[in-house]
Amino acid sequence: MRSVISYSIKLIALLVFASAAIAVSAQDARLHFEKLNALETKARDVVEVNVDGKLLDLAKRVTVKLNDENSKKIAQAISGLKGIYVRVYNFENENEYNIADVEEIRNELNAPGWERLANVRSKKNNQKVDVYTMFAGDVMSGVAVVISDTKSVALVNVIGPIDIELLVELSGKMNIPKIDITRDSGPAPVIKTKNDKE
Amino acid sequence: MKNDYLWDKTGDDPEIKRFEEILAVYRHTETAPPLFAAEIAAPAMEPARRWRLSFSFAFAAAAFAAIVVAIGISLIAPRSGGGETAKNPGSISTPTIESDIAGPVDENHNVTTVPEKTAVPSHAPERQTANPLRTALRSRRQPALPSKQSIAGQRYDALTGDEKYAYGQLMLALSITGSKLKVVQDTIDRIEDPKVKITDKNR
Repeated sequence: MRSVISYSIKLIALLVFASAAIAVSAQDARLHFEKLNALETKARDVVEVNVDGKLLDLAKRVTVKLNDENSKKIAQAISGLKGIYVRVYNFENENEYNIADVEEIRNELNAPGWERLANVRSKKNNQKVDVYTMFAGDVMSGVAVVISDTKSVALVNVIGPIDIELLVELSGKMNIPKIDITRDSGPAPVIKTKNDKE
Repeated sequence: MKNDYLWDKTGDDPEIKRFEEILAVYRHTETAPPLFAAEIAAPAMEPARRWRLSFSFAFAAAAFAAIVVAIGISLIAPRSGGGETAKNPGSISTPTIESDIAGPVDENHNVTTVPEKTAVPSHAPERQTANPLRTALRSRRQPALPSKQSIAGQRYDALTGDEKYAYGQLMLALSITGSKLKVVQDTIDRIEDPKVKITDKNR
């Protein structure tokens, strides 16, 4: 009898710990974009998109309701999604914003749980590209993309698993830009991105 | 006075007979029952009615004759050669409707709202043949099937305002995410290219 009770207590404690760990990990996947409010006042263009909670649930139902091939794939790609947050700031002049504000966001990505997927630095336009992911076990619980240069800052924070392969497959359709994963055959100079063409 | 003659005209009563002769002019004579108002009024309007009837018959006869002549001409007229051949049966002349959905992100990370054109099917496919009657009959037998895009467009139109907003916001977020991932992918591809010179301050 005592062994049964002790076993039950241990099991309950384990479940509570696991649920707390999952909750904490889900909470940590969310970046605090409110630290970038100072950029909003200085930026020429600001794009802010927050899709979570009931809005996301409604959007998921719409993808099911449309019931066409692409919508079905999108519904499948975002089936486990809990939130997606986007911030894009474009500035008129170079170095018009405080870099420290963006570095605060990057410091959050150094916290435990986040794994660096890509980190690129370019001298030209002082471009910095960072991609981080967070996993809860084998399940992706978050993605963060931070791209900054002298005239723009872009941040994407995805909470929950998202099928990136499907996103690649659907790129080009449904007004999602096509992602070309093939290499360029021509000669490539020092790292160039789209922003370098300006 | 004898009552018999007065009631059944048996016997003889000269005085009653004399009264009958005097009052004979006022005797009731049975005539046809009175006509209804429409029957009484009909003779007065008869000329106009006759004119209307004749006009309507003439018009119907002329229309019938025109139809018969048109059918005859269409059947007898020779078919044309390759000049007026039918268009692609699958082509449907359709008006388009536009709905605003988040568009791709340009180089300046400006999100553009691109109107998405969706097709609305017409009632029947257009064909240019020499036999419009056959074309009309054929179109009735084979109704045009709406394209997949038009079905999606109709379903999108059936959404409420909130649903369209939520869907638009989601597509906008996915669009921006896809564009940023593309930037990352392009950058990584160039890094992996051995011809690329990498400048990494962190190394």
